[in-house]
Amino acid sequence: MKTLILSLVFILSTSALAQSLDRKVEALIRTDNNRPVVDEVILTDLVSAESFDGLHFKIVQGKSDEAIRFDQDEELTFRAATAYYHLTKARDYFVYKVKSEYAASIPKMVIRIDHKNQFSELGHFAHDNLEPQFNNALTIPAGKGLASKGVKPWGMEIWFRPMKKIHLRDLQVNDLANQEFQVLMKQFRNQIHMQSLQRFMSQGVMALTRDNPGMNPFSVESLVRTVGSSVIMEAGYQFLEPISKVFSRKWYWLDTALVPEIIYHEYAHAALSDHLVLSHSTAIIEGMADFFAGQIANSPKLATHIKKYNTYNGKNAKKKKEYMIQFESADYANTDFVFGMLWELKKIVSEDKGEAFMFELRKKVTTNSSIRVGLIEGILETCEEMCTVPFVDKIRILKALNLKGL
Amino acid sequence: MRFALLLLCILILPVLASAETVSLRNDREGKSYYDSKSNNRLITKALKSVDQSQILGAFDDVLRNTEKNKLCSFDINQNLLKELRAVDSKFNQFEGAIYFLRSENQIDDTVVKILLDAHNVITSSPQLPKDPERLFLPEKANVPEMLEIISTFESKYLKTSCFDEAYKNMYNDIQKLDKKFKNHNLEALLVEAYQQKKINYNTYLSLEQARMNELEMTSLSLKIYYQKVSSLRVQYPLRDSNELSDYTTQKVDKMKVSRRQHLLSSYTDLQIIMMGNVIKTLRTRLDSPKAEILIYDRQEGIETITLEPMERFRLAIKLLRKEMSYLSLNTYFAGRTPDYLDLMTAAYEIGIIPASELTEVAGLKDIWSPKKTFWDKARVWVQTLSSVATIVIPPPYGFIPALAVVVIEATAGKQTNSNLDDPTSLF
Repeated sequence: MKTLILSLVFILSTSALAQSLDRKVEALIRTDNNRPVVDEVILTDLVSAESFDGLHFKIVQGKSDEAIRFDQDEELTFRAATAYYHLTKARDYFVYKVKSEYAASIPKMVIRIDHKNQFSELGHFAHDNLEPQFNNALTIPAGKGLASKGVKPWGMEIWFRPMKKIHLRDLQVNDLANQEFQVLMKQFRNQIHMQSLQRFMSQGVMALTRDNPGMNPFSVESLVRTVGSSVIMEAGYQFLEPISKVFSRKWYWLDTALVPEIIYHEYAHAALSDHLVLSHSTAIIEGMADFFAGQIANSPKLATHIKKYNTYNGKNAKKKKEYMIQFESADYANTDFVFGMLWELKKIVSEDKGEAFMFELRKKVTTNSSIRVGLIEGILETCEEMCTVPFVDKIRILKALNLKGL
Repeated sequence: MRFALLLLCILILPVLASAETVSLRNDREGKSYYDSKSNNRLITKALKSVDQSQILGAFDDVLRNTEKNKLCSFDINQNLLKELRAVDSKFNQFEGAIYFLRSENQIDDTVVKILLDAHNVITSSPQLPKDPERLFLPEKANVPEMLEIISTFESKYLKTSCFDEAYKNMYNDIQKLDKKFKNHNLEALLVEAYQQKKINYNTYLSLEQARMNELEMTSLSLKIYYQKVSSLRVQYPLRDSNELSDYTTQKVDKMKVSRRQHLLSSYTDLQIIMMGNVIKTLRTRLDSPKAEILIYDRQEGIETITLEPMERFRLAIKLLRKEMSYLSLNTYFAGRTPDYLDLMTAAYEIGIIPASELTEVAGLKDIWSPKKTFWDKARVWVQTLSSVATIVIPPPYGFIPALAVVVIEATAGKQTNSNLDDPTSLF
């Protein structure tokens, strides 16, 4: 049966290929050393000579059903070209490298650029009056539509929101790095105060026990020095927040259609949706999509070094991060913990088998799996089936996870 | 008639059993502990005098003519040397021949050590004549009786035992007369025995060689080694006798022996089995897909707590550590606490852990006893110096050591196992 489906997919795609067109356009791509550059690329599998309408993807603007034409606004076509190019790359990865039958069978996807509406499971697009969305991207599941309200059925779609400069104070972000820095500063402040007290005490003891102590701890100079450092430290600590606000970055923006790894990430959601349903954002579904985005990009860093279109820090699988129970909550679904964890495990189960392993892993987890239970059980079960020496590799995995504080 | 047949069987069976050729073949060790450039040069030198097949043939002959209940490293060495000298009368590369036999897996590292130790005893040369001022006899009252024991060395001790065993038995008998008796007392006694013509020169020489090499301290003779390994193989037949591991031939820290040599010389077969079984249980627990804690009231179970995968893992390690402590309380161990790596070597010895799993399971030790890196060690010093510097260095520069202390505490704190005090995890 599998062979039959594969043959059918092959015949269909080859017959379609016979009619497909290629087009040379400018798009944003990454160089070998991960730098973003604008360069000429060839868009393949197009079925229209005039618009971004292909065999597998149709790039539209907002709520429109019409593909963006090549002669439309230059900025818009640049986004469309970049999205189309990277989506094709992501699809090729899943279909030809990972050999995903499911990815090969996904019907043509509509890709919406500059789309602000929120998603509605019943009505496809939420009402225009609801808060518009920016600096974001999402993959939505297919819907049956609502005939009584004139909502047609729709397939799986990827929505890239428009970019908008937002002041950081208006954003509610889980700034873990800042929290860590504040803890460090508090320790530093306590250490300085303790140091001042120790100095004062030791000088006091010396003054009382020696005939010639060298320095009088109660002298003005000594008191100014000792108290002074504590006062300076305390002042610095109390005004840390306003000072850091003055010097730190204030604006945030993210043009998701122009960041290759975000495009890969969103397509990965679609390719993995046979098991990881697109219901809501969790650490597992985001981490798995991040892993495959990293694989397609061939980099452990996602959405970094692309400040023109992204002031967000990006994700780094090699960043050493210990597990926190908060990572299980939806608020922290987009941290790079699971991404880093899967990236590390890939090396344990061998670089060659790593991506096949992670692709198989999607069958053992669900969108709602927790990191600590569902994901780890899934990893161990997958290892039981796929690892060369399962017992040994499982121990390696458990040891690595233990070190990550899990 | 039946009785006569039975008697015949009883008489013949031991003869047949002892006629069985002794095998000392290596069936556990991979790369030899003795595999070094200098030892390989010795092999090359030996092979210049005699060829490979001649060494193998000679060793085969020696073993064929050896009864397993009379296994003796000194006899084997003597017979092997005799055979090799029959090929080349000037053959003097005995060590090379032994290393060659190891390289061909005819023997393992433990047998190599036993044979070479015996060879070293025989070839060591005492400084003669002895300086009378440096000879210290034991208590005078015991001397005549001790000399009597020495005089019976050949007739009583050596007649029924291998040289090493005979020497040790004699030494023990002498020591029974004086608990403070030391090796250097024997030196004087041997001279005295020779001067009083209680022993001839050859016996004096061999006993002095044994004394110089502290033969009384050696715990493993070839016979004991053979009995130990045979007993283990009978009780735990190897699933794969071709499976060899490099792990067991690695050097033990601060000792001049390999892990397997240490195991076989330090533990009895029963202790090895007990140690191996601890690892067997650990392996089962590590491989288990589910673990639950059941809580009962006075009548029935009221709660089942299913452990998370990482909790299962850490529980298995905690239980291992508990069982290791209990092992030392066991009568058979007499308060001795075996090291985790000894347990691993024991588990491999009886085939509970395959070679492919050894390194990884052994590496579990890092979880409760992480290896200290250079930076870990340096951090302690920097932290100590910074703490002193916070008082010594005057303001405003005092912030430098204070910052160093804070940074070290922050980074060192992260490296310690945070699972231990994690309220969201049971283990």
